[in-house]
Amino acid sequence: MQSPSQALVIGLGNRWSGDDAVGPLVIEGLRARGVDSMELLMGPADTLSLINAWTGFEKVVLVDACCDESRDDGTVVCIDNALQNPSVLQSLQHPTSSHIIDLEQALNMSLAMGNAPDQLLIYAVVASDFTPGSEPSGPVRTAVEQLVARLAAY
Amino acid sequence: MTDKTKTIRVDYLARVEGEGALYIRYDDNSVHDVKLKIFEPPRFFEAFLQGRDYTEAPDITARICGICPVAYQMSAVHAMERALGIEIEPGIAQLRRLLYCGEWIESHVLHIAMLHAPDFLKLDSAVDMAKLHPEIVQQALSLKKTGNAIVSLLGGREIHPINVRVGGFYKLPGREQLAALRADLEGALVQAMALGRWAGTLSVPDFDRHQQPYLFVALHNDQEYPTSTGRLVSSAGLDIDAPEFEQHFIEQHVEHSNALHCLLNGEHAYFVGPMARFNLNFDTLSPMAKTLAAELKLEPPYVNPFGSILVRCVEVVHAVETAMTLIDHYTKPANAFSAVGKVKPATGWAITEAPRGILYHRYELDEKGKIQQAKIVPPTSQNQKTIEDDLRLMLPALMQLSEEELRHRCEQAIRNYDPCISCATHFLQLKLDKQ
Repeated sequence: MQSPSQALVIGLGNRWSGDDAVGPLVIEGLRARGVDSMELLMGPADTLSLINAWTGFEKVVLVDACCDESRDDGTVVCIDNALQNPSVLQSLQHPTSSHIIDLEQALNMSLAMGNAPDQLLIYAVVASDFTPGSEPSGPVRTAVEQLVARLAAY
Repeated sequence: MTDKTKTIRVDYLARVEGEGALYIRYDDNSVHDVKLKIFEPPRFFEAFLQGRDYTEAPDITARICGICPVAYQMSAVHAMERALGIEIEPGIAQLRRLLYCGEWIESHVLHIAMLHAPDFLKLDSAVDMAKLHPEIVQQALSLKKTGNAIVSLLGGREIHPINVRVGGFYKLPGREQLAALRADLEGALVQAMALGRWAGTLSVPDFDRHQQPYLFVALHNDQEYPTSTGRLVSSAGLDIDAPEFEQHFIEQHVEHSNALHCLLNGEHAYFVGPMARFNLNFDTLSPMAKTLAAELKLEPPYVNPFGSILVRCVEVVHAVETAMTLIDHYTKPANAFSAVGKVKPATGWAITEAPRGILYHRYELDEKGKIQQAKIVPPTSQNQKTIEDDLRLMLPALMQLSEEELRHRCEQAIRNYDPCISCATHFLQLKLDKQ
């Protein structure tokens, strides 16, 4: 059982879809460094699992790729406390099957049940190529390394 | 239309899987037309399979559905094993049953607590459920986690598992991993009973189709509540093996749906899923499942589809208890899979029980084991006509309801079947047209 002060880092994305590998690569990088000050979770395919996963943690860090045509690929966007920013929460909406909820619904369900983390930190790496079977681009890989170093220093 | 025409439209019916619409034309005296319009585009999985190797069918078909991939894998492997004459070890059969229990738990619990229960409580969403009944949602999430854990352990991951292969599994679980799962299941059984008792407090609308009784169809096996084995039986005395399925069950294209309607002998609507299994297999339910059924006053023949939420609760208890028993008696098989002998031109058939009902697969293989033809009949396409019949028969007694209440009751009636339109096309705008 985690200590309440520990942070949980969740890497979202698909390891095998180009730049979408950001989340899994960050988790792999943290594991390779032997980081034990944080719990690490490779993005569950079932978003409902997130609610169970972050229950009990004060701080949750979500790492994912994002699309933003106004920024260069590899730019790291940091959202300090997403739970206090309704527009950020809304931006986490994603059309999904009714059998798999989106991130906003997962957070809203957690808030409704009183088991949401106190702090939700989002690191999003701007990316643009999600071709199935391809590797992440150079700038995205560089951003992944920077993020691993930053999170490992927590 | 006359000046008495009245139309109720819902642009999107939530909490069903996939895209579709419902059209009902009626007046004060009768219902003239009910069409469950499935407009989600065809997904062409049967065509994708042509030319692929027989070994690929379990992984390709698992992609049809994110909530019942195990069902697709099980029907695929059983059909291929039948085609190629592969005998599987009893231990492998038991592990497959355990995997299926995991899928029933995760699928049923999601539907019970987050998709269907809001109907009974006049709530709009799972988020509203979480606000008003946080303890129920938390309990459901915990139960679902246990189901996911079973699928993850045996399937390699919780959605679209990748560890199932023709002849068995790629990798077998260890005794220690199963022991950890067994400990979780102890708690899950308590939670499943509590969820069932809570569901028993919900007000279930009365609906009796005495004038047009249901024709229930499910697998039946004297030894165990069916998942992957048994003969296909009906409440009207049908008793057939999988290869005979297409002689009795005929798929038809209807103009208003991208999902084929499947009818018995091309004429009769029938009902597959938890209610059919419960009514045709009550004797083989697990002891605690029978205890819950007795507490909820459920006994066969149970024919109120609005009570399907209760039957699902009984099946969750059954799945949890069965999973515990399977783990208790687990002996690691000598081999993870049975070797495949000489591949030859052959046809294989299988029917297994997906959470929503029977799932039929047929494959024709050539001399190299390449799939020449594939046929898949999912449960939702089999229930489509019965859903339409329910609405047609239900509405005359509900004309005193407001349009909003009527619309709500129609949506609830559809969700009684936990339809998975994405599977069926391989739903929902609602339009009520009153004349």
